[in-house]
Amino acid sequence: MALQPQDALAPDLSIIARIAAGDERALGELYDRYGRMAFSLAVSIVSDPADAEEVVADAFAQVWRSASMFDSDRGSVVAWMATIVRTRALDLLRAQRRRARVIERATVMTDDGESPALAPAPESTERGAEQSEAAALIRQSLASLPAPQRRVIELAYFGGLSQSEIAEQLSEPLGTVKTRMRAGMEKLRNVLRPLMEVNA
Amino acid sequence: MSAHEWLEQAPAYALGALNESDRASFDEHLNECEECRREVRALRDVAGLMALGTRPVEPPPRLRERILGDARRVRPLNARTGGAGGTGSNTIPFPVQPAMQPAPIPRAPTPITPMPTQSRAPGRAAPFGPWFAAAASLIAAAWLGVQYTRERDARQMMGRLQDRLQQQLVARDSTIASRDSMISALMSPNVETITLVATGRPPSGRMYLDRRSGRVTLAMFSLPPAPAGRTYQLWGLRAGGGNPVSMGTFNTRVDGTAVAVLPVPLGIAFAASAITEEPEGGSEQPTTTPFLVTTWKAD
Repeated sequence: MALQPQDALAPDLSIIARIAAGDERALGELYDRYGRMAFSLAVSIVSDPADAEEVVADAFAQVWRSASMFDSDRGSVVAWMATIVRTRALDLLRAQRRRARVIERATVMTDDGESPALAPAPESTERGAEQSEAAALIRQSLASLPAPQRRVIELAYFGGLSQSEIAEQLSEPLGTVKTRMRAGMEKLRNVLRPLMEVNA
Repeated sequence: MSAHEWLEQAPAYALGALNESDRASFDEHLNECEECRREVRALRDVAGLMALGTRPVEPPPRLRERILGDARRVRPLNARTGGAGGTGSNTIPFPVQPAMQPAPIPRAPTPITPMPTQSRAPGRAAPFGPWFAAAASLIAAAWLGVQYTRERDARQMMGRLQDRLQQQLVARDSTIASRDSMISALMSPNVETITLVATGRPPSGRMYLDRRSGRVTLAMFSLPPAPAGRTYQLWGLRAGGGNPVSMGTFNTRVDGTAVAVLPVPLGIAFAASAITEEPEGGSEQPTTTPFLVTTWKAD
């Protein structure tokens, strides 16, 4: 399974190197590869599609300006992109003072225990079958976590909450939150290992 | 904080869920710990994959154009003139926006005006001379631009390298200082060696006790790290009985070993020592069953 349909054409790192050299077409390629992921992540945090558009435009502008600073020792390209989008999205929420509402939304689970951010689309609009397959595996892996573990991870990642804030939000002891976060991430890491190796 | 405790913070760090001060400490620790850097890298990749698993939402088609349009107006940091397969090496197409681009970027070399026709050799009709000269000037100017940019890139890279080396030196100095202190503790003529063994099974340990300077160097083996939020504590037991006296806390690494230099309170005649597992930070008095209870009798 491949996360990137264009793996055979160019690995992520070479696209980043071309962007760092000022190659605008490489930025287009990166967008074609991760634009939808970036937009979906932004929507899952800020909710409003117009805000998500701002977030993604800002994030790609940052990638364009600072591709030369990318350090593969610190993580994969997709992880770097996701970090930039997430940070921009959370910054926007803080600036708009809408964070509380989003946290509230993130705390509410659907009937089947799925959080809104990670619920499958009602009707698949995915283009690449491989990406779809990978995304499905990731969602499945998240869904396989015990609900309390998934919840603390989602509140941290999509809600931007610190462990202490999560403990307060869920009225749970801090130690419990820490243990759940560690256990959940460890499980995710194990089930997602094959994808990480492909993506490395 | 022990290596084990740092590693436990890695998932929260990768998820951005540490509070400000913990994150700053962890950042510092990452500068000197390869194991934690590897751990954080892997966990960040997990977080990145979570982003790929979000409910798919199709971005509006105009977003791609907008992003590329924005890029045309701003040059990337350190971009070399004429990127590989880029928008052309004969022009530098992105005007600099000072608000978004703090670093000074050299402008495109000014094209040299073609030589006036009067300078052509009289009677010679060949039109290539001026064009050739102009092209040569452009190439020379572009080459100078490339050299300038390369030099600037190299200087920035050297600067970053120097910073990193400086940090490594500081970390190394601190490690060496702590080892020096440990060696001097072990080499003291007053040191007594005490072996800590449970009856025929792990864990085990050795203590290098210097009663005169009031410190003990403890080496532990085969002792699994204390669980999250817990630590190990060394206690001194007085010769005449009474409450145990704390000599400090320590924790073992993932491989079950630890070396710790702990203070031995002066003026108290200790006859034995013991170890207990306690909550993080240690306890006033032991709260769990002691193990490796050992009479202080030199080997």
